[in-house]
Formats: sequence, C-alpha cells, structure tokens
Amino acid sequence: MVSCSKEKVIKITETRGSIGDADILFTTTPNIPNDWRVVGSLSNRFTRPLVTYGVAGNSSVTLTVGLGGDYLGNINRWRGQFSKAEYTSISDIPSLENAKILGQEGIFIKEYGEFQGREKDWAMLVIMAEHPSFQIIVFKMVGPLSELEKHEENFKSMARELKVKEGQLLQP
Amino acid sequence: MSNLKRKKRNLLQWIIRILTGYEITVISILLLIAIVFFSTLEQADVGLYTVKQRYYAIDVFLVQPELRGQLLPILLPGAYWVCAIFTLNLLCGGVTKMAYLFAKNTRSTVPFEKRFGKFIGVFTSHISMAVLMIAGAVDYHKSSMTMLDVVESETNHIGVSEEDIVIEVSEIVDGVETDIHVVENKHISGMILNGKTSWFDKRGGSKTFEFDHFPFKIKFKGWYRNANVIPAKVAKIEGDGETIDGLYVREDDILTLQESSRIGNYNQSVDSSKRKKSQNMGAAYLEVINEAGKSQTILVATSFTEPGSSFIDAVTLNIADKTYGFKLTQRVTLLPFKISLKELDVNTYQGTTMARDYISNIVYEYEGEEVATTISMNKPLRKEGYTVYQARWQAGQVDMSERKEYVDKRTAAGLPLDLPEEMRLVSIYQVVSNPADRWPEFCIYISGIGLLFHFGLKLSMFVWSSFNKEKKNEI
Repeated sequence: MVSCSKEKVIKITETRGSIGDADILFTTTPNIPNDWRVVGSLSNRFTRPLVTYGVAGNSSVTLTVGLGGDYLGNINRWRGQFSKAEYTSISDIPSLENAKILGQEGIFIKEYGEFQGREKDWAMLVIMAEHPSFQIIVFKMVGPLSELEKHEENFKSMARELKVKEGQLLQP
Repeated sequence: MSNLKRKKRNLLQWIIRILTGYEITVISILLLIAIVFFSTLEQADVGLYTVKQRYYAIDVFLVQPELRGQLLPILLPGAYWVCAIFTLNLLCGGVTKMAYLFAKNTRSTVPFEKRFGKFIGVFTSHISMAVLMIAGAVDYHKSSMTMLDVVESETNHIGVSEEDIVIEVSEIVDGVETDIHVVENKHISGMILNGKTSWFDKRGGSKTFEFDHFPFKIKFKGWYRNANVIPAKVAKIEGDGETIDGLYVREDDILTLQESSRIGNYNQSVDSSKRKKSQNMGAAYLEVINEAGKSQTILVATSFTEPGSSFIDAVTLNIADKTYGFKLTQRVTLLPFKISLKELDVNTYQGTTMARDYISNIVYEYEGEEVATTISMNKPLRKEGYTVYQARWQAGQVDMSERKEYVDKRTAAGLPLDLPEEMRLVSIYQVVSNPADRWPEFCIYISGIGLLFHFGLKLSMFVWSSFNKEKKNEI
C-alpha cells in the first residue's frame, strides 16, 4: 500500500553554475536532426552502447566504442540478426562504401530484411572504423526500412561531424 | 494528610506537568534506543542512505522496521520528532523548571551560595545537552556534505555528493548544458521505490516540478535507489518498469556501504548478467508534460562517481524547438575554494596495503590567496565555514612500490616531485559545511565541567560532613 498524500507542485528555482567540460555532452553533434534525441548515454556504458539516439518512430541510433573482434566477424553477427548467410571476406559485401567517423576512415554497410525474426522490412545502417583508443567504433542505426531510407543522409553526415568530448575517452 | 492529597491541576498545568516530567525523558530515551537498534539492523540490508530517510527524516512520523525484507509488526515514531520532544522536555523540565524553582526558592533557609553551588553544575549540564540536541537540528537542516576528488598535481573545486541524488534539467545549446536547474535531493529523498512499502511509508504519491522559464513541468513518482537499466530485448520479469526508448528498469537490492566499498564498478565476471554492481545506481521515470498538456515519459539513471570517471550525459527531449536535457545524478557543488594536491603521502602497515596514515600536502586557494597546508586523518582543514576531512584515497593502477622508489629518489636528490601521470594517486576529501560543526564538542566540554563541578561539590560536602561527624563523635 502507498500513502494517499496529495500531489505537490514545487517550483524549482535552484540552479547550479557550469562545471566546464563536464557540462558538455559526451558527443557533440551540431547537426543532430530535430527529431532525434539522446535517450541513453554513459549511464549505461557498462552495457554498451555509449550513446543512444532515439529517432522518430521506432528507429534508434547507437554509438558503441571498444567493440571486440574484427569487421567481418561483427558484420556476420549482424547478418545473423537478419537470418542471412555469413560473408567469407569483406570484399563479398555488395553495399560496401567508405565512410568516416570520429576522424577515422571506415566503412558503411546496409542490411535489410526480417530483423531478429520478429520485425519485417527492417534495416540496419552501420558505419564502423578502427580507432587507436577504442578498437572498433560502431555507429549503427536500426529501424523500419522506410524510416531508415529517410534518415540515411542524416545518419552519414552526423557520423562525419560527431565529436567526442575531449578527455572523456573511457575504456569500456 | 494534606500532603497526601493530590493537587488539582487545570489543563495548562497538566501540559506543563507532562512537558517537564521525567516520563517524557524516559520514554524518549527508550524510543531512541529502539530506533537506533532497528535502524542499525535495517542499515545492514538497505544501506545508510535509505535508513536515514526512513527513520530520521523530518517528514517521517511513523516507521515500521524492516528486517531481511520483511516488515516487522512494530511501529516506531520518527526519530526527528522524538528528538524534538526530548529537546523540548529538556528545555522545559531540565532548564526552565530548574531555573524557575531556583529563583522562586528565595525564602529557603539554605544560604544562597550553597543553593547556587548545588544548582549551577546540573543546570549547566542540562543547558549543554539541550544545545547538543539543537546542534543536531542545525546539522540536519543547515549542513551540507560533498566529496572532492583531487588527483596529485591537479586542482579541483567541484564536489560530487555520494548520497544526494538530484534531478538536473537544462537547455542544451550546441552540445553544452546551460541554465541548469536542480531539483534538490530534499524534494525526492523520501520517494525511494525499492523495497517493501507500508501505509505510512512515504513511498507513494507524486510531485510535480515546475521551472522558471522552461515550457514544461515534470511529474515525478519516485526513484529507485538501486536498479539495473536493461535493454528491451532482455525478457522482463514481474515488477520490471515500463519500456522507454528501448530500456526498462529492474529494481536491484540496495547495496550497503560495506558492499559499495568493493573496488571497481563491477566485478570481472565475463557474463554480463552475472556481474555484480558495487555501487548503487539510481533510476527514475520522469513524465515531462509540455504547455499543451502532452506528456512524454523518459528514463534517467545515475552513473558511477569513481574518481576520474565521467559525469553522465543528459537524456534529451525536443520541446518547442529547443533541446532540453534531463539527468538523475549525484548533486554537484561548486566550492568557493580550490584544492591543489601537491603530494599524497601514504604510509601503510608493514607488509600490507592497509593505510596507517595518509597526509595530503595541499595548496588551499581562496579569493586569489594561496596557503600551503596539510590535511590528514583526524586533522581536518577548517576554512571559510567548511571543514575538509581526509576521507580516503585511491591508487587505481599505480604501482605503489615503483612510486615509492621514484619519490624517494627525487626527494634524496632534492628535486621537485613532478609525478608522471601513471604514478599519481587520488585523494578524496569529505567537505562539510555545518554552522554547528563544533557545537557538540563545546557542549561535551561544558557538560563535563558542570558535572565535574557538581559531583566534586557533592563529594567535598560528603567528605566535609563525614569529617564534622567524626569530630562531633570525638567530642
């Protein structure tokens, strides 16, 4: 049982001053689309990803750093989520493009189909790159294919301009 | 006969009689013993913070002790109010009544000096005890405490509370939090959702927070002192919270201070589901309601406060073409002074890593003035109304023997320390601002002197009267 106390309305006037760098978001993205939001961040870093952006509808974008394994292993793992056969080498990937994230040259790939056996006509956009501090960085967008097609350019430009707060490079 | 007849009292006299009587003193002391006993037992299960909120907070009038997750069939009054009544009793009965009777008894045949001598010691002790209780109230209402981590060769003035969780709401401009409003801990501390609930526990209801110039308000229904934030793909169990933005909250057992003091955020189990946290992580659902009445629920969670770790980022919402950030986080305090840690001198017991003593050689900076001084265990620094205690230290990845070798070499050569980054220790200070900081100390001294005087007088009177008696017998 809980108490049946009346709802209180409290006017908040207390503020605090800036604490410098700590008030800068982990990732600063000047061109973040208006309908995207940060929905999870370092608070969940132990589970990865580091930052999750909620995008309109059911799509979400995640930035994960320090992913183990190599490109091929991770790509095949994601293909498995779409019940697709594994590639034997990177050169087998038909949709492979070059891309840039956090100043590193990487690759861009696309997958689509039935996601995890329950979401039909879904897709995944991934930009991944090797980083001297983080092993592999992955910027990934998952959601309905129709939504992802609309956001593909936003996704790529956001990855290009994504900046990580200096001095906050955590070892996951 | 007339002495045996009870005096008839009116209502006011009855109130005065009860307020000044020993019955309240005895009952209050017994209740306080019971409260301390049960809260100490419960503290082992749910931690100090929760126990403080459940037993000692001002808005607690009744509490039902909980042991091993089971509510006991006992009701206790809130400690704050027992202390308040006890203090009133002490002031009315022990101080006012005593002074009144002393002043009234002018016609006594006993000389004034003798009466005053008997009165003053006990009276002083009672006053100092009353002041001691008032010091507790001042501490409760006016004091603040924060932790300040300083790395060797670095300076810091940003205190982060280990206990006080707050909600921060800000406007995000170009990736930076601005206009940061703080929903203070006092507004949410009693609204912990973990554990069993009973009718008189304040673990229900809701509060709405409004902000000066933000176009929304927040409806708050409580928070989890310790919880896991779990991705939606992991199957839910009974009691799990609502899924928001692909995440939901699962209540976790509250960790006690002892459990929290284990090193590291998580133990090193490979299987993430079996990892055990070593620090309470708060979580809450916030219902953000815009001016049109449209609401959206978000999930916010705290992070760790290990030295050197990041502050968490805000969860954002776009409202009226602006981006706002929401956080559940430890309270941040910007201290008016800075501490630069020059060196942390750690002495351990031989053959162990247990600290015997550690001394911080610091430079205290306040309003442009710099003072070199030290802070060590039991020797705090008192400045500008703040007391800075040496709380603990952390070596992190530092190899202590390598560090000692380096420090000894530099010291022997008369060179400045210039510690390389990999050898720097972290010193953690507890910074307390309490107007009544030293009152208890002075109260104890005054009370001790009063009692010493009183019992000394009694003893000397006894010795004197025995001596006189012997003298009379001899005659």
